[in-house]
Amino acid sequence: MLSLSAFSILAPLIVGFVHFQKLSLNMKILYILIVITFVMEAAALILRLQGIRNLFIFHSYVYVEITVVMMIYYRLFDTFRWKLVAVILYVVFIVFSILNVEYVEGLDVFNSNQRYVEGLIIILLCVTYFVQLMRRAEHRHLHSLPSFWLNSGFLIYFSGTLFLFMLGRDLIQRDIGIFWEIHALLNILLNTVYVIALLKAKKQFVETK
Amino acid sequence: MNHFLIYGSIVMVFLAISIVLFVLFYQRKMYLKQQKINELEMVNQRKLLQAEINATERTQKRIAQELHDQTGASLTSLRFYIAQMGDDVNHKDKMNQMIIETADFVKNVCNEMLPYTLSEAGFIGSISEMTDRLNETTWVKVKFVQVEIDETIKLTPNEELALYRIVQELLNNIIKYAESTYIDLFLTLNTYELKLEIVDDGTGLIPSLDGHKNSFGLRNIVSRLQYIDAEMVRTTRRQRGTTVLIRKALNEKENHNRSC
Repeated sequence: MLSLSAFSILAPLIVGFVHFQKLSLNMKILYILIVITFVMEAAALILRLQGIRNLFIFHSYVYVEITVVMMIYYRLFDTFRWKLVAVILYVVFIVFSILNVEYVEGLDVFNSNQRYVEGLIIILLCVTYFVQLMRRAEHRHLHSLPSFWLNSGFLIYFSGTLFLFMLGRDLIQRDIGIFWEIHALLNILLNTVYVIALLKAKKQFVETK
Repeated sequence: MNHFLIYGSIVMVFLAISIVLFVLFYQRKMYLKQQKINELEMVNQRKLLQAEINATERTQKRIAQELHDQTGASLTSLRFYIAQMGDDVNHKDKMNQMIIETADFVKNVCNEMLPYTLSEAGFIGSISEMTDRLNETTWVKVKFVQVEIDETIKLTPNEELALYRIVQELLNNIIKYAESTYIDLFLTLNTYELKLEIVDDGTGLIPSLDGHKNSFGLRNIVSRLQYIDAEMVRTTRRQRGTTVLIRKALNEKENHNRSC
């Protein structure tokens, strides 16, 4: 399961690469996240194999992830109010993360607090986007929208990992394997959703051409 | 700890999936509801449009009849009385001429307001009569070409009247503002469509529908086009002149094909 999870990022990486020209700007932004995730996971694996501590990579990854996710939601929201809320949440998160590293968790332990708060913020954004979709009632088939899939994937992944990240520091210190098992499962799900969203974006391009 | 983690995560994932499914179904329901509301609004709008056009036509008919019956009759009587006046030939001729001009003017106004020819000669006959009249009364050369006419196709009286008014408004605009020397009308009427092309060599001053939404005449054209489910496309040639294409699909199958 763990190996499958590690390699699952290859699926959206390849699909995105093949159809990159046909992707919308939001999907291109997502593809940047996929590429960075691949590079960071590969780097973390190499460092682990060489016996070097790789936690700083996960600390750095959170900044990249929240930045890309915020960029996507900033573009998806159609009201100034929610665009502003997204920017404020982003700034608050960055300030919180810096303070967390400086005074609470540091770089040597798993960044439980940071990931937990990130999860809460992204869940809030996901729910807000769903409310926007319901209010506008513009699409008969939501499942043909790449952003719907992406939003659903984020919601399920960050909801499922919420407790995991909340307790992550203790779990990793006590080397409880279930942490990685659950995370692997949700990670595979998220990467599958990335593939679906990318394929839907490609299909949308073909239909509108 | 392990159990809490597993069950906690399962509950959270379940909640997230429930939200996704709820959004999926609720949004679909809302979409269908919105569609129904839009359809109802369209029907209402169409009814309002119909009522507005009918009211306008009724008023015009009433004024035209009044003008015809009252003014026309009075002028004829006046002419009769003048004929019985003394021998002041000079004055009599001038007055006669004035009365003839006024009577012609009233006749023209009546005809503009209530196209009698429409019920007698139908749409094609009325357009033909309109172009003849314009050739007589203006210096613009108006040509009416019947490209393809299927005699078996009958338009409803409402459609004929709406189309007549649209053509009337467009030709008046061209003559008034476009400084054209000629206007050509090409009419095609077959099983699938009614197509009327109005080509002129003017300055392209027939205003576009988008840019002059407040113009009364143009608003009338737009409402009448909507009323009869027709469309209008206006193209301006680079050097000089404008082409206006009015098209109305007459066949359901054709309509369907076009919307696909």
